[in-house]
Amino acid sequence: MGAESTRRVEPAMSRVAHLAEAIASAAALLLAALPVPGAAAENGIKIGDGRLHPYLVLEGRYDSNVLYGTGQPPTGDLVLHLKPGFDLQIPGNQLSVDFGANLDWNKYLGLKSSATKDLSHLFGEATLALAANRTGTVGLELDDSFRRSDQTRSYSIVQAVVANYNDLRLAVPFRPGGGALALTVGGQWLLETFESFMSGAGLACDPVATGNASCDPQILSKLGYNQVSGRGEVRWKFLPRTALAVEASYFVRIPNDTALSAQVKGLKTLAGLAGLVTPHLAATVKGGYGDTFGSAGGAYRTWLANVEIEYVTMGTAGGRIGYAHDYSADPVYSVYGVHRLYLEGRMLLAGRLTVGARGEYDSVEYATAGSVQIATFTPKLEVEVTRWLYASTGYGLTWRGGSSGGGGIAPVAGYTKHEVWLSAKLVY
Amino acid sequence: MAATAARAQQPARGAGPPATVRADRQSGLSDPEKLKKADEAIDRMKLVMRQVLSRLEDARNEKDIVKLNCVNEKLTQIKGLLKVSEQSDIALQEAAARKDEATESEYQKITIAKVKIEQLRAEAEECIGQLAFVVDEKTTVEVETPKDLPEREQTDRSPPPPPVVRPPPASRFE
Repeated sequence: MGAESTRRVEPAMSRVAHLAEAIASAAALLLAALPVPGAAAENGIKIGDGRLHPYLVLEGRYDSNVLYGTGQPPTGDLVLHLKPGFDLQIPGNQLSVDFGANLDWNKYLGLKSSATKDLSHLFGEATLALAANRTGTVGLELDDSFRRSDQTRSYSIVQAVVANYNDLRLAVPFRPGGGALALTVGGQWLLETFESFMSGAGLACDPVATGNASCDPQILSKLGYNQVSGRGEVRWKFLPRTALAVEASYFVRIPNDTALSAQVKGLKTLAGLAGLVTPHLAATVKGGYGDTFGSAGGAYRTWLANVEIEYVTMGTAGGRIGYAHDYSADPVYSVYGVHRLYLEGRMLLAGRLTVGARGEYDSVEYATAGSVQIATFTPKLEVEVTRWLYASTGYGLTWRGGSSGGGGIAPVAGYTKHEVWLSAKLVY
Repeated sequence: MAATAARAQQPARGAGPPATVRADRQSGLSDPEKLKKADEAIDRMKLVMRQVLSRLEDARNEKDIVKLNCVNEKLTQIKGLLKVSEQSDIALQEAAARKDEATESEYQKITIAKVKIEQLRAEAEECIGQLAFVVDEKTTVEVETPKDLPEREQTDRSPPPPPVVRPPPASRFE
């Protein structure tokens, strides 16, 4: 009997193996038939020494959890993204410019519930990176990124929100003697404001029971903040790709409404090694100390760390795994420490197909409340069909749980999302 | 020739009666001691001249005219002082043979020349040493990097950006 079933299974397995082999061969032939990337003339509109690349992204994304209703299972929907944008790249040692911007129209189709159609929004982002005298003794680096989206890094916000986030950084590197020793001073200005995601939305949770004011959409706009910081770093390259570094930064978080959020000041110091330890292995080993000097409503001081190992090649494959411990100010619970474990990898196949995955687990521990855990896993596949057409598909899992506030985590703050997407990018 | 003859008489002078070995009031040395120390000083001065000549050769090989001129100037002075010292040594031996008090002045000339030559040697070293650290338009720094290293800068490393959260909107909290 066993032998008979084995005989039945073997031809089936053989057919599957042949089918897989045929599909792999067909894919390889298809990829081989396409023109080699970069073989044709460079695309983009020439502007001086640089090029402007306009693009359009069309994406269909199914999200299993776009709307929460009390006592009901999460509602899923298909969201269409229409994202026109551009990238301007002007390379140069004296002055390099990298400027990009896009708009992102999110259209909810209402496949399962017509209520989700009201979630459609227009978002956008812009980034600017200027670098002057990159190889000289004294340089200047200016970076700014702005994003208006439904995503935020303020983990204590317990309901859907529209966040406007701007990050401006200025750095002046000083490289005497050719760059083996680099001293950098700089500053950063963060600005984040919040808006209610839906007009006329009610309470997302009980602000009293949870101790979280962000349950109330009318309060959200008062949780915005400015954060300014100054930093200094000394980096000594004792090998061409390996350096010892010492860095320190001091920040001040200034909330828009000090009755709802605490003003937090803090110091961070880190020292350690970063760079190649073998021709194909890079590592980061840094440790340090952080302290808010009692500004977070009580003493909060902690150790800081970043330990990472990365496999690096000339471009065909790579991966890294690491752990970091850091702390940050928060608009609701003043300050939190976070343990981060991350893993990512990618491989380029046939010169145009990139297979990659990224996973991350974050444990956020508030100084004055509970904790939140966030786990994400995102495998994806990207292919350069031609030099003007890129396609990608992937899956994203986001899970968030834990407890915060006196009454536990708000219902919508603990959630699971499954997302599947397919996108095409047309770029000139 | 005269120096050779004078030196040949040294054992005779050293082995002479105690009355001939008189202490000098300035250097506190007897004539035989002056002769011995003068010989040592001249040997030292010749050694210094050879060292500075070697520095001059280094500067010439580097084709660095600034260093070459600097060292050459010191060498010229050393040669002059050495010539004076050798003449004084001859005069010292003659004076010692005559048991003349002029031995002291000749010995002092040699001593002063030796000190001066040591100073010039130090200055010649500075010509090479100090100028070696001068960074000018001719200075280049070559860093050899293995060819199989990844192109991307590896020392500016940081963890990936923190995750963003996107809680779903609630239809109503009850």
